[in-house]
Amino acid sequence: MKSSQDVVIVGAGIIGSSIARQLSQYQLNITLLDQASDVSCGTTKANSAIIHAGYDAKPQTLQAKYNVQGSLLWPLLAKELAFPYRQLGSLVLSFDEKQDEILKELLNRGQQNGVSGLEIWNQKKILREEPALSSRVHSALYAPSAAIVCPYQAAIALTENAIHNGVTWLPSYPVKKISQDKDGFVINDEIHTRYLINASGVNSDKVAALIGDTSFTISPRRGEYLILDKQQLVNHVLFQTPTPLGKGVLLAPTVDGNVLLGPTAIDCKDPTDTQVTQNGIDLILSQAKTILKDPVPPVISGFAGIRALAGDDFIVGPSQVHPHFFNCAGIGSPGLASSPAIALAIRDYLQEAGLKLIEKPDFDPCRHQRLPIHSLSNRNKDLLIQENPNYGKIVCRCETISEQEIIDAITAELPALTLDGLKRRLRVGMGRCQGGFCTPRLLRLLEQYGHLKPAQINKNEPGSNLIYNETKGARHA
Amino acid sequence: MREFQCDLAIIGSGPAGLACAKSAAEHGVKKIVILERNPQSGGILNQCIHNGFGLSVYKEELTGPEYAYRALQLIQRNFPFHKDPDMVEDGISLFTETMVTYISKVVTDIAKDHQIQALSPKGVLIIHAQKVFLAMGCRERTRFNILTPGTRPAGIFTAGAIQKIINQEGLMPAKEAVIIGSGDIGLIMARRLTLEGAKVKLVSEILPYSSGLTRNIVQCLQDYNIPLRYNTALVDIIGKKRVEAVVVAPVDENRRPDLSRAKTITCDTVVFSVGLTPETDLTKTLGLVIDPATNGYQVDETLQTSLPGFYSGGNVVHVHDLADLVTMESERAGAGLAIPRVPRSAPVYLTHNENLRYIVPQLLRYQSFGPLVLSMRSTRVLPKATLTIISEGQVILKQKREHVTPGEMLVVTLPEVLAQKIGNDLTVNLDEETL
Repeated sequence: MKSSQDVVIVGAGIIGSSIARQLSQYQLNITLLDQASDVSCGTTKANSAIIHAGYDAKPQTLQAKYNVQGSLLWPLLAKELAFPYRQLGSLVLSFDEKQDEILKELLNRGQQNGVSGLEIWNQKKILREEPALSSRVHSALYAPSAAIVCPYQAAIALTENAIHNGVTWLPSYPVKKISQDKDGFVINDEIHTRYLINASGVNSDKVAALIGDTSFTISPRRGEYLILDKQQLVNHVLFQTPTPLGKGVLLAPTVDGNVLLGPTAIDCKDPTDTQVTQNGIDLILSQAKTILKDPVPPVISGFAGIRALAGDDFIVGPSQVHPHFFNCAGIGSPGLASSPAIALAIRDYLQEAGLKLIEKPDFDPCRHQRLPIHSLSNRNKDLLIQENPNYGKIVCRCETISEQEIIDAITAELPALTLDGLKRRLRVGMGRCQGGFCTPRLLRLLEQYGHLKPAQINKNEPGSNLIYNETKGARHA
Repeated sequence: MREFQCDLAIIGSGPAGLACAKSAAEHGVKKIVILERNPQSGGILNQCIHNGFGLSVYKEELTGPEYAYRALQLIQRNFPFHKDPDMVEDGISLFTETMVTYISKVVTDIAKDHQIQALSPKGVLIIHAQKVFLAMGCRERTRFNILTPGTRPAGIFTAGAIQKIINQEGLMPAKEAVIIGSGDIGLIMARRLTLEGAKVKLVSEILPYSSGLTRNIVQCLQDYNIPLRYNTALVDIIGKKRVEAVVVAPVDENRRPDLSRAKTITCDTVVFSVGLTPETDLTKTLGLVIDPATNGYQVDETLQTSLPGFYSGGNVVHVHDLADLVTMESERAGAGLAIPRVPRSAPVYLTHNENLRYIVPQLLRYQSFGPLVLSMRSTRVLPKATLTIISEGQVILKQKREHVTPGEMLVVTLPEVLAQKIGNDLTVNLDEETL
């Protein structure tokens, strides 16, 4: 048997990493594991990146409760863990009188859910605050507490801080078998744990089924997105008025200054079906066109994510099959916003189930992160480069990322050993050239500092290698 | 923090930057600084190891790295040259591994002092320059720029990226490839991949003609039996970890694919060669006028942009098909920024008919001074055409041209005697000659 743990968390998305970080303040042996080689490789890496205010969820649901609670916890998290968070506020746009009525319903619902500061704006006010919008806009519901974050950077920050506070991170570890004994569970006949938390996203029904919990089934729903180049196009998160068919396409700035359009909502059988379809592209662009006054600016990238739905609400709490097995499942929207509150709820459930929570005297809630070089003053840039000249070698020209920042990410405690891992931490290759210029250099840095042969360097998972071997000339050199 | 003054700061040391430096020095500009982000000068030429460079400028056939070396040599031999110096003296100073992050213009009327901030392994570098030559070149359009649906596995490259990986890193990233777009780099890479043992199964072009040079279609595809299909669009990319296949379909005259005739081609690599776009992002905050037809800077006959003191040349003005043409254009800029000229009473904006996509320069600001070179591209293939240059109703020049295609830039040089005839307007028309 490999080890004996108090708590094992299966799945290192935003939910698993939030729980790991929440529990890392107590004197517990905790392992956070994931089938992928890095954190944040599932739903967390591909969603709308929005901390919803909480007017949308039906009152009395877990979604409403955790959303409103969670959205208030994000500002402190962002401060402690040094990841970007911007409270821009959101607008739900109405384009006719029928939609105006729906906005009033949303306003009421938001007030019932305890969302503060909601206002209805008239056209004049909307166009003053959002000059890029079509003058067809009628009215809007303004929610000041809505915010944007970068969900994968948040999950990385949470995990890094959890590791810093003693949590064990176990990547590339798929859970194939869970057996039970008198005081807990044994995972894959290797890891014993007293408590087990299932935060495995699209696979959470399969993981629950390993202990015989078949109380829910995950229905994957694909959301496709497009990304525009950096620009000041809109100032708030802009939603369309929800219809019975869905919430429609949103338009939002990202924390990095790009503009995000999407998502579509397509039920799919395969939970790994992250294709972007022609229909999806057409739908997103045609809806964006109706919101904006001018033509939609050029697209630089696109992606799709899978929302792991299980009925109409979140499933958070002990399994009916075993009181020490906790499910966090069916976490669709507003899962990101809710994640800090879900982590608190799981902590309380664990305590109720008999886990003793003794605070660590040396718990450090802060992540000590160097600021990106491009954000420093000239004086501080100079000081850093004098210390280490590699901070002055710019590898990613679109995002101004230096060679040393890449080396730091490759050699970190939670290392980036794939091209996508580097992207998620530093944005290398995420700019307008989409890695055309920097990919060759990134391959060499991963080779040198990640101790990988070129053919072992993957885009993300094993089998996604870019290189097969050396060229004829290089082999004979 | 290092801070230097100079007469001319050049951003980029590809063929444009090097040619401008040489020409400006020849015309008496004293202190010239070149800022290059890579460890060596030459820009993209360094990864273009195929031949075909230099036929016009050096009257012999060179590879890209040889061409870049010649251009640097001309500077080193003829002028005081300093590589990564500790201070800026008269002559040409080349700063390598130096990435310009910000350019600002000076607001006062007294000093024409433009400030350039850059990062290098030696720290922050600030250059105060009387004049600036922008030579940042271009970047490739990507898969999502042309809104290609499908998955996002490993094995999707732009032609330039795969060229760099193979030619400069010596790494082989493909076994079976499909090339999307028939731009020159895509054609060159079809041959290069074949020579390295990969199978290029198709070059797929959405248009009814290639945007590449005819010589490249012959030498890179036909000589290697690589199929090229026109009027064909990429409609899907399949594969989770690595590319497994692409789906292509014929398009109608509105470029709409006919999915009933779609074909799946197994491959592990998709190479996008779907056009280049000038890399003007560095000057966004300066508000330089961009020509929507070229996506590059709008320039006058001296290659001056809309902002006085800022000049530009090469692929950041308009995408060229030959490095030689970049060199010649940027040499004109070096002269243009060094020699004072007499302005016209009002600028003349060039106009053209629908068979032309653009003309560079877009405007004339000065009274006639030597020959005038006009570069332009057609919007479609014209087997036989007549090019007419008209000013104030008078035909100044009429030329017959054969096999005009959008892939090959048309260059017309008006000798000084003809350039002097230009009045208050200038129109260039390209007309199809019917047999």
